[in-house]
Order: sequence, then C-alpha cells, then structure tokens
Amino acid sequence: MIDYFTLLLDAYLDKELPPSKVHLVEQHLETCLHCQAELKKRRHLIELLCEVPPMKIVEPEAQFIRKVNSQLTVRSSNSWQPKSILNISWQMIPVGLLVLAAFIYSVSIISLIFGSIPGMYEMILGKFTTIGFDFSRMDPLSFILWLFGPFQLSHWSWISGIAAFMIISLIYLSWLIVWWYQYNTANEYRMV
Amino acid sequence: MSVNLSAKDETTEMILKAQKGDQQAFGELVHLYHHQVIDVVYRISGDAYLADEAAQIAFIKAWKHLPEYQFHSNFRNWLYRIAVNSALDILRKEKPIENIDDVQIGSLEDNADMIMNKKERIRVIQKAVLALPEASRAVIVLREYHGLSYREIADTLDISIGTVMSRLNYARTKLAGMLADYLEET
Ligand SMILES: [Zn+2]
Repeated sequence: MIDYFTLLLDAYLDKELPPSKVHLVEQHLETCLHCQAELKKRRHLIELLCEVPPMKIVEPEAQFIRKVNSQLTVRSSNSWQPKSILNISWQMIPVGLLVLAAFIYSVSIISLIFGSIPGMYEMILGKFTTIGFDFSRMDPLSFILWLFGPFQLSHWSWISGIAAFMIISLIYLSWLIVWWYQYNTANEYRMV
Repeated sequence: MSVNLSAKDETTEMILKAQKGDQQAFGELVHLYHHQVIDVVYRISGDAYLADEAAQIAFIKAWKHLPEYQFHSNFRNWLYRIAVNSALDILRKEKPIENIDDVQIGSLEDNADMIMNKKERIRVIQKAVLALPEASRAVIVLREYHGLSYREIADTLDISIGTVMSRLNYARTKLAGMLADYLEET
C-alpha cells in the first residue's frame, strides 16, 4: 500500500531529492513491490505524456510579431523610475529625520559660533523677540533646539550623543540594505 | 558551450536594449521565445487560438514590465509566468474549468481497436491533461513539456516547492488513473 516512500517517488524520478534521501528510496525500492510498480507506472506515464507534440503554430510568426509590436506603447528608458521612487518613499522617512537632525545640528553649531562673537547672540535674540519669539517659553522649535542643539551640552556629553547617533544610524542603514536587497530580488516576480 | 554562452550574452544584450525602449530588440525577443510561450499556454488551455491570444497579451505585458526584470531569474521562465497568468485569466473569464470527476475520457472500452491508433491516443492524453484542475495542470505542463525544475516551477507559479510536489503527485496519480488502459498495455 501507499507508504512514506510512495510520496517521494515523483521527486526521485525528477532527480529533485537530496542525495541522502535518494539512497533511502533506492534501499526501499529493493523490497517494496508497491513502490516498484508505482515507479514503473510513473516512468511510463511520463513517456506517454511526451507523445503529445508541440502545438502547430496557427499564425505565421511575422504576423504574430507585427501584432505584438503594433500594441506596444512607446516607453522611454526611465519612465518607470518615478513610480519606483514613490514605491519606496515611506522607507526613506528615517533618512529624512536623520537629515533633519543633521540640519538642526549644523544650524545650532553655526548659531553657537555666531553667539561667541560678542554682541551677535544678543542681536539675533533681539530680532527674535521683536517678531514675537520668546525663549523663555518652551515652544516646539526651542524644544528641538534644546534637545539636539548646543543647549544640551550642559547635561549630555558630545561623545555619548554622537555614539548613540552613530549606532542608531548603523542599525537603520543595515536594515535599509537588507530591505533594499530583498526588494530588488523579489521585485521582478511581484508584479505579474 | 562557448556558443551557448555567447547566445546568452546576446539575449542579455537584447533584453537590456528592450528595457531602454528599443522595440526592435523586443521584436527579436518575441521571435526567440514566442513558440515556447505559445506552447505552454496551448498545453494549459488546449485551445490554439486562445494560446495565440494569451501569448500576445503576455508579450505586451512583458514589454510593459520589462524595466522591472532584473536578471535574477531565467528570462524564459519570467515570460512563462506572465503567459500562464494571462492564460488562466482568460480561461476563468471564458469558461468554467470542468471538474476532474465530471470529465469522461473517451469511451476506451468501446474503441479497443483505436487504442493502437497514435492520433487517438494523443487526443486522449491531451484530454486527460485538460481534465486536471488548472493548478496541477500548470505544474505538469511546466515539468513534463518544458523541463522546469521544482524551484523554477515554484517561482513561476508563485507557490512553495512543497506545493509543487503535492500538485505534481496529485496530477500524476490522476493521470495514471485516467490513462490506466494505456499504462497497463506494456
Ligand atoms: Zn513502498
């Protein structure tokens, strides 16, 4: 009757079994009459199926190619790129955040340099207060400046800040590389 | 071997050109592959005209999606995938696939003389293949007539290797049952 090895016969016939299992199947075939008969039947079936010849083409080749060609839309080499950028844009949100953080850092550093010039800091502050900006209130902008900018120097050392920043960037970057690789390998089968 | 390799390079060249929008290069690819693509569809659908139509649709789709092809898989198998999906789409719209248990394969007992007739035998084999559910039919066609490996079939039909194996086992068992008269002959 049907046993475990009967189910392996197809893969055995198609040479799709790992060598270790091939050996087991061959060993089993020596003693199991049912599997022997089943294997013979399947070999014969495959021969029988191969008797059906390929289709006789109903349409001349030139006509077929002409028909296909007449329906092709003109495609420039990069017409697909905007779509592919759109497809991946959400993955780029962390990149955007990193760029934003870098921007805030550089603005803070520049403002620090300006601040070190006597009188300059007071001048900028003065300008801000004339347009209604008050540093004593914790609005979002000053909060971000406080978090990322030179204001944090007093309670968080540069080294630990940069180290944390780099570790997070590296983790994100490696994740991005893995994702990008998978995206590229899977993509050509995804759409059709 | 070296001839094979340069032919492969030539195909790659054509694909790259076609990806950049070269319709003539794409025409060359159609010339190279359309017989095989039509044959796959024909064996799955059993209808020469449907095969021709589905193959045309498949090549037009292939042109549209060609820039997304990245040489990770065999180009022929990539075309097969598009063609099989197009054919199954058309089949689903045009006629419901007959249930395997409802299909009567000829009247073998009545025509004992004709069993020896090769033409008749081929007709019966074709009918038996067409009586399979489309899922296992596609697997058997890609395996027996186009020699794809289990991995390639799995990629082409977007199923797991385990599913390929179970569908193949199912198809061969069913076919052996339907074609028992021929198999017992020898
Ligand atoms: Zn056995």
